[in-house]
Amino acid sequence: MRDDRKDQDQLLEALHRLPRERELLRDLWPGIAGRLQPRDLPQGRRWTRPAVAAAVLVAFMAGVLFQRQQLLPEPASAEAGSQRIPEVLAAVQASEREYQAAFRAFVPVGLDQAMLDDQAIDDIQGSWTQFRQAEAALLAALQDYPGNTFLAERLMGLRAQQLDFMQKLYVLDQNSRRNT
Amino acid sequence: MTTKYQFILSLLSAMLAPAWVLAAQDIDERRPLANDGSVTVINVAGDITITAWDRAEVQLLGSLGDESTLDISESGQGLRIEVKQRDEERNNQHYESSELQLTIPEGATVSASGVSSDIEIRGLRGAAVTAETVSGDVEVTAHSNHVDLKSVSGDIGFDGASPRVTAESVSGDVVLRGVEGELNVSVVSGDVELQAGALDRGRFEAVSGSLDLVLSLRENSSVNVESMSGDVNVVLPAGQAMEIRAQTFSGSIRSGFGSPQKVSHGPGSRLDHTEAGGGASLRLESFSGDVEISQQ
Repeated sequence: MRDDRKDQDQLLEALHRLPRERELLRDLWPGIAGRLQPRDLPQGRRWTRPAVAAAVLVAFMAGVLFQRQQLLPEPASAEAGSQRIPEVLAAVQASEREYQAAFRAFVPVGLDQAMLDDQAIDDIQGSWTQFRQAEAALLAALQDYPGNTFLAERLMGLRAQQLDFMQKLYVLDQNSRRNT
Repeated sequence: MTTKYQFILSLLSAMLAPAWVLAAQDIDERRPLANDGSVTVINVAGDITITAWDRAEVQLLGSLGDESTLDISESGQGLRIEVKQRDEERNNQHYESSELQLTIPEGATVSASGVSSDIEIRGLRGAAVTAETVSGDVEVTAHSNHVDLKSVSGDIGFDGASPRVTAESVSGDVVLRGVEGELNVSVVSGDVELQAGALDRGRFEAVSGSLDLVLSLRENSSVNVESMSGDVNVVLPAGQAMEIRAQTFSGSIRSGFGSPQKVSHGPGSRLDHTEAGGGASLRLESFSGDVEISQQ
C-alpha cells in the first residue's frame, strides 16, 4: 500500500514535468493540406529541404518504435502497469518530443497533386482527421486519468502510427519528385 | 508519282518523329527470364496486371500513353520495366495512363509499384511479391514466401498461402485469406477482415477501422491487436491454448474465453485469462472500441 502511494506520488510528480504543449491539440491538417498544394519553390530549395526532413523523420521514427518495442513485451496487467509507470512516462515524454520535432521537420514536404486524384486527397485528409480525433480523445482521457499507463501506451502507439503516416506522405512526395 | 512522293514523305516523317510519338502504340514485348528471376514493374498512372505461366520468359502486352515511353532493362536475373513520362508532360504535371499486362514465370519474384494504379497479381509461386500503390487497389493471389502489399487510399486483397505477409492501407480495406506464420497489418480508417491459418506472430493496428480476425495460434506464438476507436472481433478455435490479455478504456469486452472484469482503478474493462494451459499470447487493446473474443 505504501509502495502504491509512493508510485502514485512519483507518477504525479513526473506528470507535472510532462511537456504541455497546446499545439498538440491544434488542427494540424491545414498545415499538411497546404503542403499538398503545388508550390513554386526555387528548384534547389524543393530538393534540399525534403532531404533534411527525410533524415529527421526516419531518425524520429526509429526512436519511437524502439521505445515501443521495449515496452510492448511486458504484460498490461494492473500490477505490472504500476511498476512500469516511470518507464512508461519516460517513454511517453520522449515520444511526444519526437513527434513534435518530427512534425515540425515535416514542413517542407509538398506532394505532386497531378499524381493523385481528388478521392485520394480526400482520403488522406479524412485519415488525418481520424488521427486528430483519436489524438484529442486520448489526450482528454489522459487529462482525466493522468496515471493510466494503458492510455499512455495508446498515445505512444498513436504517435507511432502518425509518424508512419507522415513518413508515407514523405515517401510519396519523394516518389513524385523522382518521377517529375 | 504522287503516291511515291507521299510514301517517301511518310517514311521521312516516321524516321524524324521523336521517340515518344513512336512509342504511342500497343505494347507487345517478350524477354527471356529464368523461373526464379525477378521482375520490377513501375507505372505511375494506369493499371498493372501480372499473371503467371510455365515458360521461362516474360510477355508484356498493353498500351502506352501517348506521352509516355517504355523502358525495359535487364540485369543479371532481373528484368525492370518502367513507364516513363516525357519531360514536358511531367513539368505540366499531366500524366497519361498506360496499361501493362505481364505474363511472367510462376516462380519469379515480382515487385510492382504505381500511384494512380490498380495492381492485380495472380498465380505466382515465387519467393516474394511486393505491390505498392497510392490511390489504386491491390489484389493478389499467390503462394509466395513473402508478400508485402501497400496502398494509401485503395483496398488490399490477398488470397493464397504465405508464411509472411505485410499489408498496409490508410483508408482502404484489407481482406486477407490463407495466410499463416507471420502477419503485420496496419490501417487507419479502413477495415480489416482476416481468415488465417495458424499464426506464429501477428501485429494488427487500426485507428478507426474495425478488425475482424479469424485465426489460430501456434504454441508460443504472439499476436498483438491494437485499435483506437474501431471494434475488434477475434474468432479462435474452441480450446485454443493461450494467455489472453485484453483491455479497453471506454469500450466493452465480450469473451467466450474467461470473464472480463472492470478495471480496478479508473474506467475500462480488462480480461486476463489462461486457456488450456496457455503457451501462446494474445493481446488485444482498444481505447474506445468494443472487443469481442469468440470460439469457432
